[in-house]
Amino acid sequence: MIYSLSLLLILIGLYGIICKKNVVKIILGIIIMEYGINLFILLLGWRKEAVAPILDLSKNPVADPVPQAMVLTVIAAGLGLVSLMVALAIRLYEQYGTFDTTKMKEEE
Amino acid sequence: MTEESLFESAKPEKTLQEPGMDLGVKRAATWLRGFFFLFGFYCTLYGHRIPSGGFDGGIIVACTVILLMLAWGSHHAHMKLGKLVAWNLQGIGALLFFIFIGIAVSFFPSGFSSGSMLFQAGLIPWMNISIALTVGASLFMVFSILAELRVKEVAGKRILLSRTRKKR
Amino acid sequence: MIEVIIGIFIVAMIIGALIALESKDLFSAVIAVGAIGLAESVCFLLLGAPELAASQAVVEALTLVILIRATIRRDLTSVEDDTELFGMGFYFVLLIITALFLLHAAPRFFPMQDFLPTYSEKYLLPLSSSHNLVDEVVLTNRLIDTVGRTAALFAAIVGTLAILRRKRFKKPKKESHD
Repeated sequence: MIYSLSLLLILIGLYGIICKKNVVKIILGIIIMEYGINLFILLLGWRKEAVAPILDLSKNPVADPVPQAMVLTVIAAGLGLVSLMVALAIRLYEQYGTFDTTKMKEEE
Repeated sequence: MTEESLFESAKPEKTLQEPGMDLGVKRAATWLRGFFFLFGFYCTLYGHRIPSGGFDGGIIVACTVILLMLAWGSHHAHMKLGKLVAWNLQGIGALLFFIFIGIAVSFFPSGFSSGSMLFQAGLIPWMNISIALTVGASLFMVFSILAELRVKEVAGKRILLSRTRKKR
Repeated sequence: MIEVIIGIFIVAMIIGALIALESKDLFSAVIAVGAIGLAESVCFLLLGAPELAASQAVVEALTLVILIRATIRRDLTSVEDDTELFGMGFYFVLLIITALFLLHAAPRFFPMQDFLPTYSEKYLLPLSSSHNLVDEVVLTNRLIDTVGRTAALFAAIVGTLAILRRKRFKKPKKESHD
């Protein structure tokens, strides 16, 4: 059930990328999609009644640390991605004076 | 005036009267900046025992510099760490990371000994420190460029200007 | 029990995402994305990943600062007539394909936890140099992935600095004579 909910979050982010005209809304769609993908990858490593993977081995099952290792660096690299997209948006605004992609097409 | 004379011995008067944001923000930033930087450094050095690591520590150190930039302006942050130094630190951090990878590969698995102190845990704390150096310096440079820009209409065209342009 | 709580948080994130994409004001859209990041940080904590929760909270704050600083201006906060028709048709087709796939695959993979492999501590314990397993896995077992992603972060930052290079402000000489 939770897996399909996170898939729904990914689909909402995809909606923001495809169906929006404003450049800032497209950037927000990419960010939402990144959040959904991180959540889904982390959910693959979760067990019922799981504890954090710190090495004091208790009786409870431990959550899988390999998906967490995958997601950890993706979060930090997502920050670089956001800064690159925002730099492109600033350049687009400087060139065309608006954030609307249809007006950019008309002006060209 | 009386409020400032109470704390006159604790901090220099000059930094509180520089142009920037409100006096309350500057005072709070003066008290908090040491704690934030120490926390970021602590997160990096204890990354092998505490759920944090190189990436978290580097981002927290960058947050400290952003706090300085928001309270005083980017010229104050540049006095603490110049742009050329930050550019070199970013490269040095990445280079150190690759050097430690080389050492780890050639001395595998005795490079990762078990222990909990800083020099007993093998190569992992050194990798954390180099990653924190890279990430912190990179984010500092990005924010220092984003803090200085604005778009201005000049002679019918839009130009990307910097706030601190040199007056001729 | 925890599944219900996590499900409530994910539903809150979905509602926040819809608000962020459909609102007419850019400022409230950016703030809504910040709220999504906060709810996701709490979800990470409930799923047993404290390091990711701390990382996500800090990164989401910095994302908000970057977005607000660079895209909100006085004359641009309102957005009107924002959806493309061709994009909506294409998205509708994508939704139908996804729904068909889910209807076919869901009875086989529900509940999914019966099909996931169990975590075995055998192949990590000889290398156990530290108490924090996630940091150790990042730097010993998955080192090549970490190198790749650090290189991607480095390239993104250098690309940002190259795009936003400042131009010198030269006074046009014709206007000074007039």
